[in-house]
Amino acid sequence: MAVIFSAFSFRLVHIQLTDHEKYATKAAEKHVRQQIIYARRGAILDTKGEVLADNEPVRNIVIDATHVTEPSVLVDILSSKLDINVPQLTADIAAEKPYIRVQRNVNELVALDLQNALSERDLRGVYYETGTKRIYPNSAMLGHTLGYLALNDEDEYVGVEGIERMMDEQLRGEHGHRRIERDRTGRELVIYRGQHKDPRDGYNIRLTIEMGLQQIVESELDAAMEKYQPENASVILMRPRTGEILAIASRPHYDPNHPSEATNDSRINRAIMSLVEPGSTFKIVPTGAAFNESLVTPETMIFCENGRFQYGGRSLKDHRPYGSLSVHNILVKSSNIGTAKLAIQMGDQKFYEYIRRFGFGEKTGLGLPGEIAGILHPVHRWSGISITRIPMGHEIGTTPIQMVNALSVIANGGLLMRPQIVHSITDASGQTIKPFAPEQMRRVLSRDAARAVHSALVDVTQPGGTATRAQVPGFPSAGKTGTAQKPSPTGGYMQGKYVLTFVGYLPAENPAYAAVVLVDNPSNATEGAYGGLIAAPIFAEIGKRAMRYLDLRPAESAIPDEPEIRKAIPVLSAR
Amino acid sequence: MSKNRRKNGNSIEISTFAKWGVIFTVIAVIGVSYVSMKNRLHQYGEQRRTLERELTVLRETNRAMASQIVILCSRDALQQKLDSGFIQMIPIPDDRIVRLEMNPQRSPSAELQAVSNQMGF
Repeated sequence: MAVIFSAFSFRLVHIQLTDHEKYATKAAEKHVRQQIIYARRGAILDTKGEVLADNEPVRNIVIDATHVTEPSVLVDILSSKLDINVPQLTADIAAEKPYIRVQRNVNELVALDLQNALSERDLRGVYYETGTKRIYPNSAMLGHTLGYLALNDEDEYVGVEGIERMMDEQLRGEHGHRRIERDRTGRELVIYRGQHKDPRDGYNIRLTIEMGLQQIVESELDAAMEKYQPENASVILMRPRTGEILAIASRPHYDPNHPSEATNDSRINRAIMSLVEPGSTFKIVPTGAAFNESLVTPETMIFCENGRFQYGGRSLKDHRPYGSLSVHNILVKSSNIGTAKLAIQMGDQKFYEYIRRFGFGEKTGLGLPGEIAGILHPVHRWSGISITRIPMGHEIGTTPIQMVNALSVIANGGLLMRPQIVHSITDASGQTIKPFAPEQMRRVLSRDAARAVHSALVDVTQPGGTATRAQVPGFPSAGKTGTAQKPSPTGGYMQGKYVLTFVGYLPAENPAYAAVVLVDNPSNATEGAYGGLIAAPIFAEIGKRAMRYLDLRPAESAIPDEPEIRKAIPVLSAR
Repeated sequence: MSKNRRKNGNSIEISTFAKWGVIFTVIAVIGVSYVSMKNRLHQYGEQRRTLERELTVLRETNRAMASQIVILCSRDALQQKLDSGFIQMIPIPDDRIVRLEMNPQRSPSAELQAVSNQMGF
């Protein structure tokens, strides 16, 4: 008797003292749980506050199998409301797993319906974690720039492309947590609530994008894709004085609401990732540099060799034979020989320095993930004829964002600004947490040199220039066309395949925006594959609508002498 | 005789009874109060949980509605309505716009003057 009593006593002491921690932990595991309070991801807004990315409340449905009393009934109800793997769920419940994730991102109304159905049968063990699903209300519009979210290894949504990735840290916020205890039926014992930390919701990101302009750009780009059927196309509008990106789009594109349906090709944001030879649009660089170095004036005459120039044992041609042209007209007529002679006069090293000062050969600093630096070989890798080929935009790889940024130097009186797409970080109440001011990178050209190039670019769009189709009624425009043969991956150039570009700004005096339009290898170029025939009209169509949207006053008055005010009432009807 | 009777009789210790009675009563009241308060605390906790749940449902429903409004008011949705003819917009031609501009050069005499409509001034 005494032995038995001693044995029980020993066991009791052993459990209470030696194994105390073990059993206390086991008990706590059953009843105490750390509940995560999820932070809401911040929204992405355009410059006027229009919502571009937001969160839709959803619920994640989880099961604590230790609280389930009628597994078969529970599985039946769940399978009738949700799309679940029944054998897997049955096995998990049978294994009494304390945390089984049944389904993610269940619509709020479906979850409420399920909750009511379970309450009616008094079934326990099902819990609801409130969560959010990212929505992009404008579907594919601005999709490349916004990016999308995906689950990481820690089962958390993180940005994988675009602004979602670029500003992930600010958008994400910090989750809170609460330590809770439950009774044997699984119900929380509120009076035993422990540690509690509130979540901090993510900040909102306000972009420099203006959706009114973005919609114009996207619709004109769609129209151009349908009309010319190119391999791809891109358009960027940038405010030259500040470097703010007002609109940015490329085709093909994808809907960030359904990223898994996107093809690899459509995921490429060609506005910042496309590597193209800029063609004649690059001629603003040697011309501007020559003005800035005071090597020439706009009136200086250059002999253009009547259309054929022998240099380094190779021939350089103009598309038309020109005799002597003023430097101004070299740009207006887009003479390859004239610009090559300007670069030769400047010298390899100096010309290279100017190319770098215009921002080529390095990332612009926009910040969007995936941006490439382009290709600009250092001088010691140049061939004997590079000094004649680079000035006309060959032997150099650039991105559309670099091209519009370089043009903005001319539109901005010689100053290079850093392209900017994030305007500010704000909290949920709209208070600015961090503003992003425009950043001046460097002065590339003197004001006079920039003005001289500007004057030529205005004439490019006038009769006699190469881009008369870039004209916008009532608003003088300035710009430069580019038509470059596509380089072949095996070396040399592909016959009959062209990249057509137009870079320009509008209105020419005090420009509201600078733009680049790039059309890659149109298959339906009935009039001819030239930048002035295909890219320039797209610029003009965007310009017509953008000037109205921005409510700019036309230089040529369109107001009738006796306006009939009664007819000026806009009509907006709904049915 | 009466003296002996008094000697053999047992006196009742009222004070002792009263003392223990009070002690038991106090303990009992404390015990019952403790249990009662504990139960009430659980009830309040339960009420709090229910209210929190209702609040959460309301908040989430509100957010769900807000996100629906965002979707329905998006450019994409409006464009679809426009394309389907549900809404119609007629652009205003350029020659039907009248722009009124302030004259930037004004003489000092033409500056706006403060006026009063009150009687007697």
